[in-house]
Amino acid sequence: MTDVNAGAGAEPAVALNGLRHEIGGREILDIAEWTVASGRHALLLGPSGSGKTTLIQILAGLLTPTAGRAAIAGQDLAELGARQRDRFRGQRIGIVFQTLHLVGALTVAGNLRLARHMAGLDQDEARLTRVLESLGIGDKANARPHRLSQGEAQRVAIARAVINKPVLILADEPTSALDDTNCDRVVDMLSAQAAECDATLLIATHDGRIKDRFEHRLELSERP
Amino acid sequence: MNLFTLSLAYIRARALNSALNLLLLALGIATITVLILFSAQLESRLTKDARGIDLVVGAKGSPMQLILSSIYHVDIPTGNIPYTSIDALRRNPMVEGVVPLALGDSFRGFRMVGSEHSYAALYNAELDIGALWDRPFEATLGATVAEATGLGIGDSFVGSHGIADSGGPVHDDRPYEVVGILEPTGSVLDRLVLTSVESVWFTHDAHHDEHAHDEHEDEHAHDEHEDEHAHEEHEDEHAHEGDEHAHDEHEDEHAHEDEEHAHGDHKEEHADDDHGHEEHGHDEHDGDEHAHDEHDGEEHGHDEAEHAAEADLADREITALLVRYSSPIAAVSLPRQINSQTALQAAAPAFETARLLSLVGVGLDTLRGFGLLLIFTAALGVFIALYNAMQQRRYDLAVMRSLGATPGKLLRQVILEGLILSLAGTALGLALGHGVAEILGQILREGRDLGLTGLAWQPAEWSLIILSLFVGIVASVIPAIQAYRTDIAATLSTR
Repeated sequence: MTDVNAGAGAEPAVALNGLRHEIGGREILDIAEWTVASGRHALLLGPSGSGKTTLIQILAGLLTPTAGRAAIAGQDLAELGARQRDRFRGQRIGIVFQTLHLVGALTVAGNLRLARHMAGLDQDEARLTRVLESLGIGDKANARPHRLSQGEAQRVAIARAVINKPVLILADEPTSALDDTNCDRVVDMLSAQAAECDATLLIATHDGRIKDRFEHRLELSERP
Repeated sequence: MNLFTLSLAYIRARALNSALNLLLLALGIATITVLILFSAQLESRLTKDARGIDLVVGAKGSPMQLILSSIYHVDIPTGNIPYTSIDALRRNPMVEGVVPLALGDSFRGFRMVGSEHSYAALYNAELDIGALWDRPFEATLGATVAEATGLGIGDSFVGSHGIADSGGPVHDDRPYEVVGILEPTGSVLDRLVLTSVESVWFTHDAHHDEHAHDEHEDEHAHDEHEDEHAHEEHEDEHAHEGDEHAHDEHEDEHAHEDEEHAHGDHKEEHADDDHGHEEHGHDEHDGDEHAHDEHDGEEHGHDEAEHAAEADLADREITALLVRYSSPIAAVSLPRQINSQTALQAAAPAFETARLLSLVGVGLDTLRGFGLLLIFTAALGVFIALYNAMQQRRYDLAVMRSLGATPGKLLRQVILEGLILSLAGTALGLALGHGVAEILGQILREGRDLGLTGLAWQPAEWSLIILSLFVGIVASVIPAIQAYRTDIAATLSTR
């Protein structure tokens, strides 16, 4: 993993081949083949329990699939050692969790610096300010997460996901708690930020309101 | 942002809990620090004060009291012994040196010790200014006494009877003159007023025998002074004090001697039995001098005084004798030999000091146990705090993993957090302990007497730091392993 940028652009951002995952003998996922070209955005659609979160975790290298291949920018995550996989995730993948999970002990800026530190990257205060300002929360840099509104907190979570200029942004149900106006706004923000870092955006959702925003999609069905 | 600032952020995020744990640990560390400082300083001070003294000979009573009163100057003396006891000891081949001590007076709470120059030599005392005492009613002050009283060379002061702080009756008829001040020695000497044995004798002769005292005053008025109340005259007298005084003594002694015979016959006999030889020598010598004196009309008074002083010795008393052995064998036979005599007691400082420390040691051990209990409680507090924090923080841990943190990094972060807490508690505890030790050393009279201070470092404190590092690691290792094992996928799936 000397050069995680190798192949970015040429290789598809996401390539799944014969991917299967079982938990306790029960099949959760079974995907024959699916790719997302670099720089394109895509949706993972499906109701609750259809394995969306499991797929997100496999794509993030947090979970190793039972069988098959999941490659991010040409890199099969299962081939990496544990430390390299952690490093790859930190530097190349940005994740926005449904429940945000901001670190309450740190300020907004601290949460962003945490992302760079844990990925083993040097701090970049200029980029930090730029990202916060592009999301309209430049004045919140020194605020604590519990002082933020839900909308502001969501923007911080997005900022944290993109601060390291990832190649892939994974967003898990980012709009489920939002009204229509905010729902659109969040999808706009995610798209804009992904475009800004030339990243591929992958949104896992069962939210019907955003189905039509992206053409490329993977539909997962509920398992019996 | 690094692991240290992250750990600090987490500690700040639960500030109250962290502060309480820190305080608990600091109290434990402080307790033990004070104990370490005081017991080490007490022990080194006790050892230092008794250095070069193999045996103390004094009146019968508690051996520890004898040691406490005549070496450490903290208890009242056991009583007096005949001055002639010194001769037997000096003749003993097992004895290298004997230092006589005459106690009983004090000046503003500082004890006055009548002794010989060899007493100051025991503590390698150096003169800061002036000279050692030479003639009666000359005094050399210990460094602390000089500093506390502000007395300098040529100043005069009066001692008070008794060794208590408040003091007894003041010997205002017998002013002492300061002739020298010693450099600080870090020993008991710093808090003593040193003078000659004779000074103490003469003070008490005058004090005990009011008749003689009055006569003495009258004589002065007649012989030399028209106005006996003029203040300056006291200082004039000083030059002649010894002589004139001794002269008076000679007359006084008759009464005194009679008293002694009536009251303490067996004591006198006893002294004679032991020192018969010596006495003879003295008597003969005195006789010679006396004969010689008669030819020398002009110095008649002076020589008569000397004669009087020497003749007195058989009746004179002192408080204790500090003995140094010439050979280790003396430790076996000499104390037994002395203790078998009815009027004398011999006590070994090394033994009594060890006994004292073992008595004090029980109390110190109890306090040390208490301090360790506090540290253990604090460790438990840190453990509980971190353990609970890990439960609340499992999302944070999962997020950090998703941000690229290796499990090892999370482990290090949690242990670092425990270490920061325990080291900060230790630093606070050490500062607190040294502060309290210094304050106690300043405000407690005993603390001042023993020269206790918080501004010193004991090597044992290093082990305290190591102990707290250990405590910090032990308290955080289980929560750290929890963090290490965080099942990030399962945690993030929980809604």
